[in-house]
Amino acid sequence: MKGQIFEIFGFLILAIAVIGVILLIRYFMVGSFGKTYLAMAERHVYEEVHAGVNSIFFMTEEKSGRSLMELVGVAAYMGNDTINFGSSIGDVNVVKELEWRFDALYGKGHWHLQAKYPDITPDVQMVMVLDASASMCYAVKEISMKMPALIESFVRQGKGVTATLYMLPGGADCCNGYKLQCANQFNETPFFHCRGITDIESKCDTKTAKGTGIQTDEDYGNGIACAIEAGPVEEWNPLSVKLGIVISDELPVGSECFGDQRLGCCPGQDYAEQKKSLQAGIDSAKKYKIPIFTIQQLDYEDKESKKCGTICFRNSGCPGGICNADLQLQCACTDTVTQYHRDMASATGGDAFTLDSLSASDLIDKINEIIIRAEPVRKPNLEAGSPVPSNKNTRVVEVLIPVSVSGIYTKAYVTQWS
Amino acid sequence: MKGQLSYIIKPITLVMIIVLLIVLYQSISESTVREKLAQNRLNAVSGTTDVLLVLANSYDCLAYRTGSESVYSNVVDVNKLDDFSKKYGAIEPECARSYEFGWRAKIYEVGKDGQPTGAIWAFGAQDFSIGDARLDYMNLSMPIAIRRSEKMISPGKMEVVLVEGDLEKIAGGIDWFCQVGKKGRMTSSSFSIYIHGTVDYDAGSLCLTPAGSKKKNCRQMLCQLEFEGLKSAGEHLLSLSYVEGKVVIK
Repeated sequence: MKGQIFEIFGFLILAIAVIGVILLIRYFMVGSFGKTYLAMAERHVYEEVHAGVNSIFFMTEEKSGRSLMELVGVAAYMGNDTINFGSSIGDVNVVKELEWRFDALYGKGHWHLQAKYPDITPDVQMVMVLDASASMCYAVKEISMKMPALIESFVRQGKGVTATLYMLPGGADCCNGYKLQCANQFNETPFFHCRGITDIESKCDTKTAKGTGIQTDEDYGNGIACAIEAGPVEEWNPLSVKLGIVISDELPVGSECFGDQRLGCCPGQDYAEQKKSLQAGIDSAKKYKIPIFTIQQLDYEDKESKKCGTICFRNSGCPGGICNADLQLQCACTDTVTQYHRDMASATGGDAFTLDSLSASDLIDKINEIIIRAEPVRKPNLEAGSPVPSNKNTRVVEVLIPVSVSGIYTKAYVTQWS
Repeated sequence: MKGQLSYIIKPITLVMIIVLLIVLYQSISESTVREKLAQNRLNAVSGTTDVLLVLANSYDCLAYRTGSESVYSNVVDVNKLDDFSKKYGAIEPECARSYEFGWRAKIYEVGKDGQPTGAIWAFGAQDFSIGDARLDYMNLSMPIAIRRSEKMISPGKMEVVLVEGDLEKIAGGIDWFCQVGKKGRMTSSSFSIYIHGTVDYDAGSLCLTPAGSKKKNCRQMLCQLEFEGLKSAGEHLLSLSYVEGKVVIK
């Protein structure tokens, strides 16, 4: 009986061994191929993701014709997902451009992209328009003495700031030794330039002022429109922060009631020419998305009492060639000028400033404030797609993006999941 | 009684051991078949991925390159697409030829909804093995960028259908020998192949008729052949020689 039991046990051990062999064969032979197959399938998926990411960054955006890699590089430089390419192309939203392409290739909710925006301060470019009437003699002295040094101080701090001052026609010969013209009045530097507005008028008069051109020494509406259209001496850099600055103490074209001998602002006058000039400036600034900052010079000797000042300039028509004119007209029109300036600034996203005294001694402080405020608010990074799920198998592709102008690179990480 | 019980148990044990051994044998055979299938599958997926990568990344294939500068990966040149569609309407381009598989590529632009828009380009083999003669089939795709000009590079997809089968293997073997023969590196060779049907050659195409079917599946060949065909299914040994620009098969 014992022997038979051993025989049965022996058979059972044999059966277990055979079953074990079968299981081992299945596990090692077929199982290992199964794993390899999955690895190969995963390889294909990874290559697919890698190819998609690579190709998307080479694709071009329809309006600008630039590749998405270039656009992300520009966005990284600007610290902003939306890039403005001027009036003909308009805005390009980089996130939206990435999104539809990734959605088309991987499906919505299956990818995420993050690219860090480096800490870069973009260059600031300014075009300034100066009213060239004799009441601005104080301003031209301040600008001549201090403006080049102000720009240099920003440059020394590592900020790329340039300014081009466009002088309206006129050229009054001031008693303070200055003339309201560019020649021999300013120290030309690589960062600060002065040009007469008439030098660039041919580039813009038909475009900005609806054919009227720049009419007077105070036509700063058409003047700033022309300056924006023609750009600074070094031309507009598409990646810079752009500003327009207007300095005047009168209405655009002038505060005079044309055909009316009364002094002061004329409430009954519709100021059609003034409004047209103002609107030309606003239209041009809006078209190019350039904010205009206005600086109104006050014609008061004393701001509190509003005692109106006088100006001195040279003219052969005056006794001894020296003219002393009071500023009654300008003073009477101060509030209207303020309103025009505010309208121009608010319509274009800028701001309106008023100087504290006739001497214009704080003019450079105001320009300094405008430049400092011009630094844009930067986003820390570009983010697109859906949040990365924690419970999915994900693939990550890293792409090196050259950041425009700066000579540095940032990394974009694209995560994909099934 | 003990002895009688032993007489019964011993034959039963013997029979059960035999049964177990048969099960073991069958299991090993089944595993071998599965292994073979898995290997085919592995080769197919690997081959398809390779074809897609070579097509999209090789300058000899579709990848765009400016002057002597480096190749743009995954950016395909629309001029090359037009050219490939014309030249390789019925055969795989040499730059991405696999002599074990047959494949056909389809390339199209995709719109915002991910669906095909605009032009579609296709090239590669037009016909494949079917039925028992087909060992494996794979259809995979990969995103690409289609370059029409410097300022117009749009999203697209490249799909490759890849088939491993008797027709692809026999045609691949002969085409490979043809290429080597053209370069003067080999004048004769042989290989054996199992065919699930009959094979004949007509007007530059090699055709396979699967067993039990009347439909022929044909492939364009790279070289002119002198070949009487294979009149029966089964294992065949083919002897090839390259003579005056022709491949002679016996």
